[in-house]
Amino acid sequence: MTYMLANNKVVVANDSFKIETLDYWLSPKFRKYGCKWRITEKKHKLDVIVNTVIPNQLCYVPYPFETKGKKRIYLSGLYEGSTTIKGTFEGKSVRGVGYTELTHTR
Amino acid sequence: MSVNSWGDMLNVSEHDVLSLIVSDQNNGDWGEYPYDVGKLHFPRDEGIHDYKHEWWYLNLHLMNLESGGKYDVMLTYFPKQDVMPFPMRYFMITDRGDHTYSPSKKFTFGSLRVSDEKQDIRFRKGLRFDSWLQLNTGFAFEYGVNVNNGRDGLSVLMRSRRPPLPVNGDGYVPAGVGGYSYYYSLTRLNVAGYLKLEGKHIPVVGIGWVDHQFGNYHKQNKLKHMNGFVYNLTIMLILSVGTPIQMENLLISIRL
Repeated sequence: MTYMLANNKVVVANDSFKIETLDYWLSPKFRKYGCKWRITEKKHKLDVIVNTVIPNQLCYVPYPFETKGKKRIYLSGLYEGSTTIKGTFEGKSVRGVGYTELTHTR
Repeated sequence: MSVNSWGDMLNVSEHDVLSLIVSDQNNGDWGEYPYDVGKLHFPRDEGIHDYKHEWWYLNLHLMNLESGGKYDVMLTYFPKQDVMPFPMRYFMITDRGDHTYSPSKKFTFGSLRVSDEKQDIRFRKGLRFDSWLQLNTGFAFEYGVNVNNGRDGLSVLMRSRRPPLPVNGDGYVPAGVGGYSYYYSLTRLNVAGYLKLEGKHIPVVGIGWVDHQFGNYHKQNKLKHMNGFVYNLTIMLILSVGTPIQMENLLISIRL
């Protein structure tokens, strides 16, 4: 996790953040996609809830991968969608916008 | 509708829009090329590299200047790569109001030409042309973007209000066993121009975010490794106090 603060200072917080999935959307193929997360980070007392705007905003994209030495392309249903964010940062109320890209869970 | 009346969430003021037109910004050491930060060198690293994987990713959060409607845009370009036989573009417009998104087919194969010296991406599908070019304004990190996807499209100018964010502190990101990549984000761009939606041109202003990653790393070998994995989560957080311009000064950006 990398921050850029208001004064353009860059802060790396790779060891002090946590993402919890609070809710899922179930696709017609019975695949679970996260649609609500809580993100916390200790250094800057970040605690925000991230919600997708459209939970089923799937994007079927050719996803290349290698298996047993062979290159294959799998049409993967990635979630690619807009998010809204609300919470606190260093004790102050914050809100914002974002974009999320993720795969399903089983 | 005035621009300021929209600023509650996306933090775009009239000053922001005007600053897109008048090149008056004094951004210190990052306002002009060349600019180096960490292991990244601009404008060179805005262009294409000779690695296994590379992509450019743009997210926009826009407002219809006529109706106040809100839209989000995702635009991504992938050149031909070791494991991807054809260049590809993803393009999607989300209408936050009615919770719809278009086009229905979001990825397009085509031909792609990218400069190895600066931001200069040209994509072609038949007689339809896209471009994402560095503007010749004398200032760094200013772009014109045009997407032609038939009845959907985009034509905007963008200016960065923040220096590039070198992900992981210096822009160097280890990626899997023996893999590595270079990664930067432009976390706050001012954006103005037109969206084309169902054949209709919509005047828009807003904010944007750019990601560019390049490197040699292995995609997951087995699909089970992809299980529920969050690839990218970009967040613009705005403290909900003060006037829009003051809020600008409190804005933080986060790259997960």
